Amino acid sequence: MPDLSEFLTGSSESDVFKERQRVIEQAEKDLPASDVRKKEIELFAPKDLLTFFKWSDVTTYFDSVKIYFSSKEYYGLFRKHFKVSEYLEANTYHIEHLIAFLVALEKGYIKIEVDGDDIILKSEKPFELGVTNG
Amino acid sequence: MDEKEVQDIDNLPLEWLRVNYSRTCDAKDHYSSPRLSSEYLDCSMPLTFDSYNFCSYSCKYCFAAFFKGNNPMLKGEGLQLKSVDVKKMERMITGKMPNDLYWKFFFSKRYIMQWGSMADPFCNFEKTNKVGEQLIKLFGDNKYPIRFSFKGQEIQTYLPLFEKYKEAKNFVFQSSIIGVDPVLASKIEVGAPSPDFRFKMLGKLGEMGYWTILRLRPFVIGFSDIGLDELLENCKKYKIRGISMEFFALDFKCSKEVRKQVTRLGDLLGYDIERYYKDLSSHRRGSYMRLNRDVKERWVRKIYKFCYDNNVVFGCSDPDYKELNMSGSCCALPESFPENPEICNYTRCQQTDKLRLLRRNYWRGKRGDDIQLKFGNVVNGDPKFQDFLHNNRLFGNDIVYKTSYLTSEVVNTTPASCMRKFWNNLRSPNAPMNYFEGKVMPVGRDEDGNLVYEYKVHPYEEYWTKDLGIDLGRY
Repeated sequence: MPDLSEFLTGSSESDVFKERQRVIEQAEKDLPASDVRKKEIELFAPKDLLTFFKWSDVTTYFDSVKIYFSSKEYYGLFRKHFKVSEYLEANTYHIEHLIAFLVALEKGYIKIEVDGDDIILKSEKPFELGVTNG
Repeated sequence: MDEKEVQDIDNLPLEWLRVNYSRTCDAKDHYSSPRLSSEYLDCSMPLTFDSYNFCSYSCKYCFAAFFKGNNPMLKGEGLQLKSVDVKKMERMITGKMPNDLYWKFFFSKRYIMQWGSMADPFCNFEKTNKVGEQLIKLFGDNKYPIRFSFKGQEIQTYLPLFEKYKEAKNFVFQSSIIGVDPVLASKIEVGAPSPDFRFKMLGKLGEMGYWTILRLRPFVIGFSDIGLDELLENCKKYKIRGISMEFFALDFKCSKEVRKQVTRLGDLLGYDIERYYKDLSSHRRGSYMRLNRDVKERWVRKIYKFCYDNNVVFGCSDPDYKELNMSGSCCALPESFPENPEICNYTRCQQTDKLRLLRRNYWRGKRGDDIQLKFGNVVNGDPKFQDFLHNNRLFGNDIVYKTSYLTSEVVNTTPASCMRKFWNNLRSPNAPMNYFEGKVMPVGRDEDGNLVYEYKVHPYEEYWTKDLGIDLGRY
């Protein structure tokens, strides 16, 4: 589950990255190889490419962005927050973090403002999310 | 797997080795080589060559085995060893076939060709058949630039020949050595000589003045990382001038036999390799599983730092960290070599060269166009060699991945137009955004409607520059 707060709040990715690598390198000294592999799976789960975006750039990168819903509930959640004219689609096979994003909207952690063609996301304070994909 | 199953799996490569120990070539039927590699999108030596149609060794990680394991021609009783036609090769490289496309696009320009792509030039077949010897003399007498990629012991027989041709320095030698443990190596690289032998061969060829490269490909976690310090020390000891690395990739579209060998490889390494790859690979890249960047960083860091500190050319053919290449060739050929500039006659109309320049520009403080990857800059990025990308016959004859094309479309397709299709499809594993796992991201379109990608700095780069003092703008 990508940590949405990291890229929204602009905290140092470099520090997080270094810390993860340090933990693994220490594990390599202390643990048998199979446990190191497990630790890697825990810490280095693949990021979705959208985590390389800044959300404020989404409209720059894509003319249109598509979301593929794996269940009706997600679609319902989506429709609750977006009008079709504000259609935000993501070119991604994995939507967990988008769902997290929608949940964050629902809980009021993120505010969305539309200024002409720009969609502006605002976060009042750092937050953490945990979402189980259905 | 029960004990009997393991025994059966282990016996297969040994049987392969036994039947191939002294196999002779078919006298009449020849193997068609060279050919244009399907990796031309980011390969500096896309014209590849093999002297035989398969290899006598049985390395468990062999990418060629993944492809060949699915080829019915290479199974069962009908298996036939073929060699290239040396006389035809002679005509081809000396201009006696002026209408030949390889002459037109490559040989007439003294392109450096890689020898040893899907097979080993010096495996057991060479001992019995000696086709390679004739070819070495052909290329040596013509001072034609060749880069060998080998493991095989028969290179030892040809050291006097290489001594004879050493003044021209038209040969480059790259040996695959992916770990130092000889016991584990003998179980994984079944039939190949020991890592120590291969280092010694590189050492002797280096003493003759040839450019030598350690091919750390594939880097297999659980083997290559153990004893990595010793491996790098050997590079110093044998004065190796380049290191080219790439992590093992697991192709989930493979035959049952290959799948069993991979499972056994995981046993030998001590972890469930299939689960590991499934859990840690980006699914954006399709069924050809490559571990994500974060898993690889600590070893890339170590090898890159070694190269940086010891004036060794770092090459990375892995799409992850490909931006770190120190030359336009991810096989670790140099940018310049005054003793024989022809060994730098590789193509630059490919993404490896351009991605390297974006990274260098970024860390030299440039922005805007200088850090953007544009389709036109790639396919027209090498006035000397780029014309092969615009030829439809080459695509139709040589390129293997044509499954999405109708037969009628193939005749109108060129390598460049095929590349364009990938380039603009953000769902394709070959789109630069997916292939380089977010190292470049789309920022708009050019005047021809092609996506323009921009270099994205990643956290590792800040870490390396600030904490390790590495200047990423240097090479």
